[in-house]
Amino acid sequence: MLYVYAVTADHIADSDDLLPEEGILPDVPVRRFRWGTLAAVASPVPDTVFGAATLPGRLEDAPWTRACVLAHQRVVSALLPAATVLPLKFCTLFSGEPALSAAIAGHREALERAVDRLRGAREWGVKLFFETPAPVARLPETVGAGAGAAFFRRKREEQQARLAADAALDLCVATSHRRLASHARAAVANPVQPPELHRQPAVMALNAAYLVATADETAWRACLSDLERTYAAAGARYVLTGPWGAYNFAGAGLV
Amino acid sequence: MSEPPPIPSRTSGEIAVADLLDRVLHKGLVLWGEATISVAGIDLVYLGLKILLTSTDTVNRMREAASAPPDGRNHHAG
Repeated sequence: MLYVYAVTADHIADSDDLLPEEGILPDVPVRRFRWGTLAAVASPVPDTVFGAATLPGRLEDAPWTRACVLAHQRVVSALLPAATVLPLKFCTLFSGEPALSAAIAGHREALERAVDRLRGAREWGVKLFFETPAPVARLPETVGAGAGAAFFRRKREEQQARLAADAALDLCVATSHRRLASHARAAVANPVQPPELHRQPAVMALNAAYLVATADETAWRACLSDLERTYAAAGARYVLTGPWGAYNFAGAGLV
Repeated sequence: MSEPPPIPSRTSGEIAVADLLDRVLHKGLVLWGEATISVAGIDLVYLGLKILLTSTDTVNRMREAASAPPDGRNHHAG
């Protein structure tokens, strides 16, 4: 059977020479199967590992799965400089070349539209964090007459400060995404990640991906730098990742 | 195709790891075909990965893989 990493197009002349040597498993080769302008990059893999009967059990082996995820990503990244790449979801498997060939033929128009969308652009990730705010400094407790009124006044002031901070944060997030998207061919705001996943001592407020034309990358990066300068004092911290295979933009309109 | 000059990205290890998992496991094209047996129970994989992410060794290895150069050929699963 075949493990398929990506569908590719617009191959440079020697792109097959740039295929990585190591596939989803350390000892399987990586091959390109061509159908006219489209191709698929895949590895022959044993049924005893990736067959429907054995794969679910294998995936429960965390170190093995981890190695496979990294291997999938390595292959996709290796393809980026030499073609337009539509990354496929992890563990896309076909019984063999005839089945893969039929799937490509059956989806050819949609695949070609996806290639048109992604041609000459790269995906970047931007995460926006706000540093966890320091605890509000408390005034010494008032005692005696008027203590109750002071307590409620302080509560009210704290609540107003929180609301103002929330509004400022929302505006920063919305402005950041809108401005970055305006320099991108496509943009998506994904669900923010929980702290266990991002492991930062901060609150994630935006988890976005942008498909940026290579010709617009300089302007897009300048926009990001400008946002950083504008919102640094407000506690905003931007984290850039990439370039990625266009995982976030390959699928729209196909399924 | 003219390749623009490489731009260094400011990527911290844990962030890149989480990004990598999000993309490889949850995004990407779904190419359904007659003989496709693409894994539907991706949540199972994700759950497993969340557990293994708590291992320091895993995070270090993920960081190494995630910070690999775009051609990715300098790193191999060890």
